[in-house]
Amino acid sequence: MGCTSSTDNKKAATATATAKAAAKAVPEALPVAEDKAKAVLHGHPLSQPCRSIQWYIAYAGKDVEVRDVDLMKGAQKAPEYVKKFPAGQVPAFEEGTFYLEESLAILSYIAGSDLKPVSQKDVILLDQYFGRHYAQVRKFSTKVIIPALLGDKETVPEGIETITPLLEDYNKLLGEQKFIVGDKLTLADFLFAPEVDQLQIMDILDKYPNILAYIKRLSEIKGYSEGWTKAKDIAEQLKASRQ
Amino acid sequence: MPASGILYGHPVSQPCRSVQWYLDYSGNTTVERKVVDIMAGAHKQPDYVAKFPNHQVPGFETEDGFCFAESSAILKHVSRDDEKIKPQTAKDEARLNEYFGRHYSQVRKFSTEVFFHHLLTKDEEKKQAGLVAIKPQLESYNEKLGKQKYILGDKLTLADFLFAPEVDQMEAVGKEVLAPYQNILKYLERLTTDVKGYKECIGGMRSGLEEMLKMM
Repeated sequence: MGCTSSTDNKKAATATATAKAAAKAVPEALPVAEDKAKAVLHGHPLSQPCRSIQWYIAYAGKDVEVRDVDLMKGAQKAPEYVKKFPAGQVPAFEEGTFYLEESLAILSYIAGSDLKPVSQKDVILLDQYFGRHYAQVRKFSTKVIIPALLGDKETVPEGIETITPLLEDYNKLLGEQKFIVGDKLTLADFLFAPEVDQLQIMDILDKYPNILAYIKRLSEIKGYSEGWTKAKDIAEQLKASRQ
Repeated sequence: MPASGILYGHPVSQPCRSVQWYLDYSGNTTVERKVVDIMAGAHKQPDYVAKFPNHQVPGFETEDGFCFAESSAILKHVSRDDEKIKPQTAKDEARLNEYFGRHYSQVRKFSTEVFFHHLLTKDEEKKQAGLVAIKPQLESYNEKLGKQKYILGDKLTLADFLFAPEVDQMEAVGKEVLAPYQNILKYLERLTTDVKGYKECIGGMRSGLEEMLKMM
């Protein structure tokens, strides 16, 4: 008919692509599937929200590379980092040119439909937890652990007073059910655990046996203990250096 | 099926306004709205605390008596059948969740670190510190809203319902707070003309605040 067939066009395109690839390829480079963008989590082993996501990645065996950001050296404020992640914080997530911040968003995106509650009530309870996590539970870190390990130690007693009613609430709840939303593991536990477990470093949890029992239950779950052990070591070193 | 139940709130509380606005926007007539007189301490009374142990507003009670709090949870619940407002893809949902996180950790400071001191504690030093704390958010959203119609893009989402009542209430602190941020002011104007229920949302806040000030 006069026009080149689509097969000829495809062959020509492939030949050009191969030539280009050969020109800049490192020897023995394997072809990368165009549609599978690499997923990377930028984090830090001590950061509670990073631990939430890292634990989930290990638990579910997700193909996400975990890269440590040297927070002590201010790597999170470097121009190339801030260009992708304007808040200049960890955790931060990228998948190709899709850049995402905020632990709730990253955790939910990576998990997809995994661990999603089914009943309307549990869906509501999970959403309620997400709000409460940011508004209240994060104080375990911001008012107690961070000042104790890295900030103004003088504010710690007041911080402990602030979080006490919350610890009492969760101790009661975890005496009545196995996990944060009910008797099934949900993303709420991935967010809650790294905030609460670190309080063991300061012997704050001795008064809350149900919380301690909950943490023990978590240690049976894939991926939890490795993250906790690593964080615990760093935290104890920091605590010792401030004595 | 439209949501039904009871919303407990107050016209001056920013997260309550978010939910009330959504209900008006969506033309909901099946959620009963009850005003909780927070100035009189009604949220700390035994009957309220029995339903909402953290004595928060907004609070939502479903038809079968299940009570819960947190504005993002309530907003998601009452909009669960609204296909237009809901995120369509996993990435859209991620952006909305990213906004929820940012809202709780940063945007809420408009209320907790500025408005709260302006109206209730009258602590000028803390208020000034709050105004400094919110500046990066004002700059960031002003830039964003110069390039797109709404918080997450050119489509209205639940993020707008949470954001607008936090930022528009700064008018009560002083016109000079938002004056440098023309894109934010234009955004609020857009909401007034284009989005059902917003005019009533800000009107209700203004009259509610006027009443509160009379009693103080």
